[in-house]
Amino acid sequence: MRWVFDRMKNRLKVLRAERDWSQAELAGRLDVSRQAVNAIETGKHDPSLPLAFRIARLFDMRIEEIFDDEL
Amino acid sequence: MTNFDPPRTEAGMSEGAVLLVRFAIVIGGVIALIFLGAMAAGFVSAVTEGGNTRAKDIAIIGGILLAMVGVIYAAWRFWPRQTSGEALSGGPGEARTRQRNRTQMLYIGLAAAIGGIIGFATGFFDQGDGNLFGGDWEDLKLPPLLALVLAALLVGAFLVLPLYGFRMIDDYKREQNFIAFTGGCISVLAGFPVWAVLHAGGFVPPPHAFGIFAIAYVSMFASFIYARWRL
Repeated sequence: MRWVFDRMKNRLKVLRAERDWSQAELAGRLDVSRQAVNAIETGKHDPSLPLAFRIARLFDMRIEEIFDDEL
Repeated sequence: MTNFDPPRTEAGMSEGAVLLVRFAIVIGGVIALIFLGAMAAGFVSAVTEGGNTRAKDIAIIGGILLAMVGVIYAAWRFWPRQTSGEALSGGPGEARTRQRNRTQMLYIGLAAAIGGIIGFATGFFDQGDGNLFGGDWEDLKLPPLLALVLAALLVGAFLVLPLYGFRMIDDYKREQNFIAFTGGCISVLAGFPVWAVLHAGGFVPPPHAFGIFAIAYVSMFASFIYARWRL
């Protein structure tokens, strides 16, 4: 059963680690707070669609390659 | 209810200095907590014994308390610490994050300064014997010009700054703040009729304007803490 507050899974932490970026570095590149990056990485927060697009563009990937609700 | 990123403390402090700063922060925090507890106990004692807790005293204490909270919060923000993977890079993103933190600290400082000015001015120039908590509004008296200035500052503190803050924060923090505001709003919607009904049944005193305000504020704060814990 899927709850309203279920969050999507994502590969943000892995992608960030591959580039040796800190959370603050990624946050700055996305123009969000470091806590937002941490919350997305830990699955506590789903980014808005504009932010998801910014993330995808930053990593030069498609959104569904980063985020998945069935991972 | 906005909240912001912890700023990075510049490297360069010796370990001894860092230890000293942390020690001072802990002592300051303990003193602040004792002060808070003593003030709350004193106020409750004065109210329950029918004593006169004057608006002037409460406002001055509130101003001092706000300043103390501001100092403690600033100390916490500047507490030297490393976040996960922070040492990995120092690129343009981190510079942008530091700039964002500086702007937001300025915002917090401005909000605290306005709050302190309001509290201090209200207490210092109060001319009546009214009690904000007691509800004897007729006895609350301020010079008219000062009242206008304070009203303008309150509009800034409770309307302009929060709205401006909403534009500064990102989705994640906006979600936390929405939860906080929702909690405050729902508590008032439910709290007033519940209070009125309980009063009608003879259980509690009649609904009180400041009490409603306090319900909104406290429940908003509690909702914010919950959101920070859960999100």
